[in-house]
Amino acid sequence: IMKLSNIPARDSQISQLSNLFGSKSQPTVDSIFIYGHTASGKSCVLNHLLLENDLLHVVVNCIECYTTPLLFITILEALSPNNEEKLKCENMNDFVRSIQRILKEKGREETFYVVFDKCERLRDKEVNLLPALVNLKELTGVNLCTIFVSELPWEKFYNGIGIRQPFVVFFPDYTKDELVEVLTYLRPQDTDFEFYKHYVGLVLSMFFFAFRDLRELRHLVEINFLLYQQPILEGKANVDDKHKLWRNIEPHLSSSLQRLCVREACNGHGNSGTESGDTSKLNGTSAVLSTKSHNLVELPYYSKFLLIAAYIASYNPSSSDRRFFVKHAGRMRKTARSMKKDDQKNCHLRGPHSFPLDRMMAIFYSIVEDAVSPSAGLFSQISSLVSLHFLAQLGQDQLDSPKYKCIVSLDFITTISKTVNFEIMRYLFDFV
Amino acid sequence: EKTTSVSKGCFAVKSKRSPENIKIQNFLQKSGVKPTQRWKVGQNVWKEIENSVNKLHSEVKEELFSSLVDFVRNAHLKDSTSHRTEIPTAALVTGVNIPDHTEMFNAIKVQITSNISPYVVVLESKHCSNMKTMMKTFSQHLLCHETAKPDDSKDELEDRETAYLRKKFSAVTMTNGSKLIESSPPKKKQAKLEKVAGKPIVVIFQDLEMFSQNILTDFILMCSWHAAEMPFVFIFGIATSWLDVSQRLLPHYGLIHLSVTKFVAPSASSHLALIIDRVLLTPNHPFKLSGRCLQLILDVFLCHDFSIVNFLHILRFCVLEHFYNQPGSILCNLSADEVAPLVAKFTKNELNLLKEIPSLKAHLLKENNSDLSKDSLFKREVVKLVNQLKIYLEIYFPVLRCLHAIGLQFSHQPLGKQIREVFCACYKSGVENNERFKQTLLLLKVASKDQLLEMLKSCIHILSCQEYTDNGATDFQPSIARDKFQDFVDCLQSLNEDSQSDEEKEEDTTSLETVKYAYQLQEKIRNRAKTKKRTKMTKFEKVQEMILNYLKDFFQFNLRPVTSFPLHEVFYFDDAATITQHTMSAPRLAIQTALADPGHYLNLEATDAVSPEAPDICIAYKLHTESGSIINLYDWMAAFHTIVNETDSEIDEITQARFIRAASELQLLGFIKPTKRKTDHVQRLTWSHS
Repeated sequence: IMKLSNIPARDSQISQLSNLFGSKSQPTVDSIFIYGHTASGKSCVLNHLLLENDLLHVVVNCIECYTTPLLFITILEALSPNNEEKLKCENMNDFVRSIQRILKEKGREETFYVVFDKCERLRDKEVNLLPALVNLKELTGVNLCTIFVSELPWEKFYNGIGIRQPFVVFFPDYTKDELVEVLTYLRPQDTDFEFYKHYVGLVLSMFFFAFRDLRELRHLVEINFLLYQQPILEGKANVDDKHKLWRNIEPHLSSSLQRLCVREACNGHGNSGTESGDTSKLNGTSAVLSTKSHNLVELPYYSKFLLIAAYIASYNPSSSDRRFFVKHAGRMRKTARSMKKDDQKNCHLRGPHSFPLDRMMAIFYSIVEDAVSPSAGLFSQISSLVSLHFLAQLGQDQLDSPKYKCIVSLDFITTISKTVNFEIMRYLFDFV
Repeated sequence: EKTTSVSKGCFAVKSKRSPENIKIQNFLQKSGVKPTQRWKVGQNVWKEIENSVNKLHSEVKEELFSSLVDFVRNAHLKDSTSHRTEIPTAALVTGVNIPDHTEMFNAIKVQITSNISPYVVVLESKHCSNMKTMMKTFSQHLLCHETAKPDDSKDELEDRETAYLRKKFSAVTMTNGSKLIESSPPKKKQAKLEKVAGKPIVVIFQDLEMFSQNILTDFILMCSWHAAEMPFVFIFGIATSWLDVSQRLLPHYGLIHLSVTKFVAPSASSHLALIIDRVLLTPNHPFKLSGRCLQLILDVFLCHDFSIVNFLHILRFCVLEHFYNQPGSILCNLSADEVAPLVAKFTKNELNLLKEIPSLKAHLLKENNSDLSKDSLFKREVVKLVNQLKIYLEIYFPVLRCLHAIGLQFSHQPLGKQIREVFCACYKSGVENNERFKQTLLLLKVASKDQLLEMLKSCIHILSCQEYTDNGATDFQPSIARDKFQDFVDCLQSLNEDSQSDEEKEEDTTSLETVKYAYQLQEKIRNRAKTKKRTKMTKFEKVQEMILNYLKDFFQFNLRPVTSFPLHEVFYFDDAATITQHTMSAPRLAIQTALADPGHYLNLEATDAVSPEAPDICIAYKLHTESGSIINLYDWMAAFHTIVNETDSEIDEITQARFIRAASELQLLGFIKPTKRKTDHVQRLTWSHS
C-alpha cells in the first residue's frame, strides 16, 4: 500500500517507518524517536514518506518556536489552516483540548502525525513538556502519533523525571559506497552517470577519512566538478582518459582538503581554484572585487595605541608596570624572589587577565608619544573596540570601575604595533 | 493645562511657542554686517559643498553598490537550476568607521528596494537581543513595506489585517512570516502574486559583530529551514574581518547553510582623501580651511574614529561658524562683478566692522594712507583686495597640485604623499623657507631627464585643466607657465637628438703634437679636461638649471602664504580653538574645571583658596583632592565644617546634611565610591597627584 520513495541508501529505514505507519487510518505507536548524525537523511526520508502517502501531518521546527505557546499555536494553525479567528493556546491543557476539538470537527479517522524536528531544543523548555508530548496520544485519546527527530540519542533526553520510552529508529552514517550512491544521485542534470560516479569515487578517496558530512562533501564535489570537466570541455582529454583527469584534479582537491573548514571564507576572493568555480557559479557576476585580502583591520591611530595598551595590561602582571613605564626606574635588584618570578613567565599560556580602565589609560598615556586630551572621542573608542570584539567588558560595575580584557591574538597585536612603529615585544613581560 | 490631580505628580505640558523659538532669525547676531544675508550665503556655500560631497559619495560607492545589487539579483537565478538550500550571503567588509555604517546600509537598502525587491530588512544588534525581539523587528520591517504601498490605504480590510498582525507581532515565527508573504498578495490581484513570488527577501545584518552567537545561528537555521519557499539573501556587515567573525560567531552547522561571497567597501581614509582632494582643496568652493584647521579635523578623523559623517559634521560646523562670526564672510561667495555693488551698499557702521578684521587693519596701518579713511576710497580698496584674492586663490590650488605632482616623482616624497600634506606644509609660510621645499629643490637638481620630463608633463596637464581669468600681471601666470613648461619639454626632448651632433662639435681642434715642453702638455690636458667638463655640464644641466630657477620662482610667487594678503579671513576659516571646544568635548575636564574653579562657569573671579561661599560640592571636591586613595568620612566632614562655618562650633545637623549631599553628588559623578575595606571610609576613584 505504501509507496517506496526513491531515496538512495535508506531502504531499510524507509521500510521500517512505512511498516510502522501502516495504512492511513491504522493506529501507529504512540511516539517515534528518530535519530542519527547530521545529514543522514532523517528529515528527508520522513517528509517524503508523509507527503507521498498523503498522510495528515504537521512538521514543526523546534528552533523556530522559541516559546511554548508558539509551538502549540503553530501546530493548531497548521491543523486548521482556514481558521480565521486567532487561536489562543497558553498551556498544555489548552493544547490537548484544542486538538481534541479540531480533530473531532474534522471528523476524520486517519492518524495525525506531529513531527518535532530538532527536538533537542524541547529540553530547554518546561520540564514537563517533552514527557507530555511523548504521551500525547494517551492524553488526547485521539488517533495521533508524535515523531521526534534529533541528532542526539534518546539517553540525552532523560531529565530526571519519568519519561516514556518512544519507539527509537536509528539512521546510521552512510558508508562509503552509500555516499557515492547519494552523491551520484544528486549529480547535476545532463551529466553521465558512470562518469560522475567515477569522479565522486575519486573525491571520496581523498576526503572520506577526513570528513563525512554529506553537505560539506556535496559542496566540494560540486565546486570541483567544473575543474574536473575542464580538460574535456577544452578538448585536451576525453571522457575515458581517467588518469589524465585525475592528475588534473588532484592538486585542486588537496588544496580543498587543506582548507576544509574555512571554505566559506575563501569563497569570495579565494585563490584561483575556488574563484573560477565560484564566478561561474555566480553566472559571471563581477562580485569578486579585485581587492587583496583585507585580513588586517585598519584602525584609527589612537585606537591602535589603546588596543596595544589593553594588550599589555592584559598580559603583564601589574607589578611589572613600574619596570616598563616609569622613567629612571633604576635597575631592579635581583632577589631570589624576583628570580623565581621570572621563571613564571607564562602569562600568554594562562590567557588574558582583566584590568581596570585606569590601568589601561595610564599605560596608554605612557606609550603614546604626543599629549592626548582625554576627550569624549577617545573614550568612545574604547567602547567601539568593545563592539568590534577586540576588548571584552567584564563585570556589572560600568560606572565606577569598568574592567576589560583584551581578546586579540599576539600575531594581531604585533602587526598592529608594527604599523605604528611600536616594539611591543620590549614591553611584554613574557618576552623580555 | 489641566494639572489638577488627586495625587502628586509630574505633568508634561507642551509649550505653545516652541516653533517660534526655533526660527533662524532669533539666533542670528543682531549687529554685524547683514546677518540674514550672510546666513543665506553660508547656506548656499554649504549646500554646494554638500552636493559635491554627495556626488563623490555616490561615485565612490557606485562600484560596490552595483556589484551588490547584481549579487542580490543573481542570487536566486542560479538556484532555480540546482536544488541547493544554501542561503546566498554577501559578507560586506565595511571597515571600523561604525558611525558611517547606518548611512551606508540605508543607501544599500534604497538601492535594492528600487532595483530588485521591496522586501529588505535591516537588522541591528540592539534590536535583536533575543529571538522574540529579533523576529518582531524582522516581521515589522517586512510589513512596513506592505503598509507603505499607496493602494493599501484604500483597502480597509487590509488595514484591519495589518492591525491584527501588528498585535500578533509579539510572537511571530518564520512560518507566519512566510505565510504573510504568500497570503497577502492573492487577496489583491493575481498579477501581483507572480511579481512578488520571485522577489528575494534581503536581510541585512548591520553590525554582525554585535549579534550574539546563539541568536544568529538560530536565525540562520530558521531561514534555511524555509529557504525552499522563501528566497532569502543575507548581507552581513562586518567591521573587522570575515575570517575572525565567522570563526567566533558561526559554528560549523550554521555556516554550512550559507554560501558566502565577500565584498569590500572602499576604505574610509581613501574616501576622505578624495573629499579633501576634490572638494576642499579646489578653487571651486569659496570657503577654505586654514592649514591649522584642516590639520586639526584631519587629526580627529585619523586618530579617533575614521568617520566620514563626523568629518562632515565638523566641516559644516566650520562653515556655520565662519559665516556667523566673520563679518567679512558676506563677500565670500560672489563673482567678480557682484563685489562692487555690494560693497557700495555698506553703511558706515558695517565698514567700521570690516576695518576691525586683523589683516585689513594691519594693511591699513602699513599703507598709512589718509585717503583710505575716506569711505569711497576704502570701499574701492576692499573691492580691489577681494578681487585680488580671488585671482590668487584661483591659481593657488592648481599650482599646489603641480608641486604635489613633482614631489610624487621622488621615491621618498619629501612633500608628503597626499596633497593635503603639501597644503598644510605650505599654508603657514609659503614655500620660501620651507625645509621640505628646499629638499625637493635639491632632489630636482639630481633628477634624471626622464623624471623632469614626466614632471613637466604632469604640470602641463594639471594647469590646462581649468580656465583662468586673465590679469596678465606676471611671468608666472598659469597660462604663460604652461607655455613655458611646454618649451622646456621641447628643449629636453631636442636635447636627446642634438646630443650626438654636439659631441662631435666638441672635438678639440688643437692637437697635442704642437707642444714642446712637458709642462705645456700638462696644462693643455688640464685645460681640455676642464672645457670638456664645462661643455658637458651645459648640455643637460643648463636646461635643468633654467627649469629649476623658473620652477622655484613660479612656486614662490604663486604659493605666497595667504596670510600675507589682507582680507584673507573672508575666505579662510582659522579658528582652531572653537573647533576644539565644540567638537572635541572633554567631559571629564569640564567637570573638573567646574569643581575646581566654580567661577569659571559662574563668571566669578577665580580664587585659589577654598572659600566658604563656593558651592558645597566644590568645597568637598577640593578637600578630597588633598587626601589619599582612601578617605575617612568623619575627617572629611570635619574639614568641610571648618570651612563652611567660620565659628568654632559643633557640627550641626544642617552642615552634616549639606556634607552628605555633596559627598553623594561626588559619588554620582564618579569621584568616590563606598568601600568595604575600611569602615566609614570611601575610596577615591581619580588619581591623586600628590
